[in-house]
Amino acid sequence: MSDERLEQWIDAVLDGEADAEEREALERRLRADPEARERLSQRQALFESLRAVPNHEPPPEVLASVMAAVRREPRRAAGWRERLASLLTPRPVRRPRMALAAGFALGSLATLALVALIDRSPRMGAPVSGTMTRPIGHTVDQRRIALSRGWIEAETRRADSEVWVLLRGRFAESARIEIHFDDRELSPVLVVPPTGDGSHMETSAGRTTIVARGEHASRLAWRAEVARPGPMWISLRAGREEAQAELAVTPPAARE
Amino acid sequence: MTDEVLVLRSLGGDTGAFGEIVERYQRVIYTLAMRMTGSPEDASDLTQGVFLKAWRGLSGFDPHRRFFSWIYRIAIHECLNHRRGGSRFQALEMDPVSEARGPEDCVQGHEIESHVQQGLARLSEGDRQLIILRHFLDESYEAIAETLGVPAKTVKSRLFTARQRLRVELERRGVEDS
Repeated sequence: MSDERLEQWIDAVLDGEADAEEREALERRLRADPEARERLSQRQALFESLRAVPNHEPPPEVLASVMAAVRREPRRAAGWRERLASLLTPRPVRRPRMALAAGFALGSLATLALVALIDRSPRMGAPVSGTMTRPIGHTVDQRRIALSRGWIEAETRRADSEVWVLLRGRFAESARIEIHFDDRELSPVLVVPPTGDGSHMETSAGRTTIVARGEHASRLAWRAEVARPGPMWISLRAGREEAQAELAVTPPAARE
Repeated sequence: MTDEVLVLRSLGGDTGAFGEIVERYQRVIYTLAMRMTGSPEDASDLTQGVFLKAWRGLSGFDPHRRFFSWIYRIAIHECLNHRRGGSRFQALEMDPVSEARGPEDCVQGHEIESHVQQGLARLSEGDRQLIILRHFLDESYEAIAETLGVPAKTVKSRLFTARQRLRVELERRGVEDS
């Protein structure tokens, strides 16, 4: 074994990154070879020198001055996002009695529909094969819809009384996404709009419409407070002819 | 609350959420800047600049990646620009004795720090970043690999080489047994 190989093993062990094979090989070598023990000692001294360097804390004014600057300088899009957020805050529902009755007649399911209207004929997408590792709550469901001129991935996550809808997509041209929800059960509190020029979103009772006019849109996020736990669904449709996939917002066990 | 939730809330205009991000990462960014520049004043200015850039560019964060990797790139870019802007790496200035250590430890610590800082300044940018990420920011091989966009095996071999070079620099400065 070369000295360099030996020292690489020593480094890996001192870093806590060696596998069992490396550790055993190093131990065998150390038992048999005084030179190897000397190398270990030198390497430990280097690590100790680096460990002996004192830590420095940032001065307290760093946080204060950053936050003062941030408050003076809201991000460009923050203003209209805040206006949007205010539009999305819970408000009293005023609906004719007939409409209310019809709503109940449709069942106690709160329906959350996400509609992506792009173009061309629809094709039902397959479930997302990879695991998305976003750490908001836990994933309830995820789907991918592939289109001839774009794709969209949607994921629902639950965190306590919140439901998140996370969307990623890439579109060859403008895409229109609609989120339909029952505002007796869901109170949207945050929407992060798509990036890209010309993107905009609007909301009206029970529906949020997102138009992404950029080359691609990604990192759309929609969050709502869940007023009542219960079965909820998201449906995805794309194209005028519509392609759709349903996404559960609550785990199957909770829906039963 | 997770980094991603804080980012999303910040994107929605919640400055309080961004404040939590700053609190969470200011120490690592300051440490990085400190080791890259050797100057507490420059490190302080750079840390503030990094978080302001992060605030302005928050929509560029890809939630599929670690937030640290994203802000690290901003920070390293700022540090390199700072260096190109005329400031040179310098030996560390002494700062007040830490209350957590005895005077002897502090003197010894500062002496070692000064040598290590000078040694770091003699390394290439790549070697310096590896040493900082592993030894001062305590990042694993896997995490360093993600941050630098190279395989973990490459991190392991490059880190070994970087340490060899640092050891030579420390020996030149008389740091014993290095």
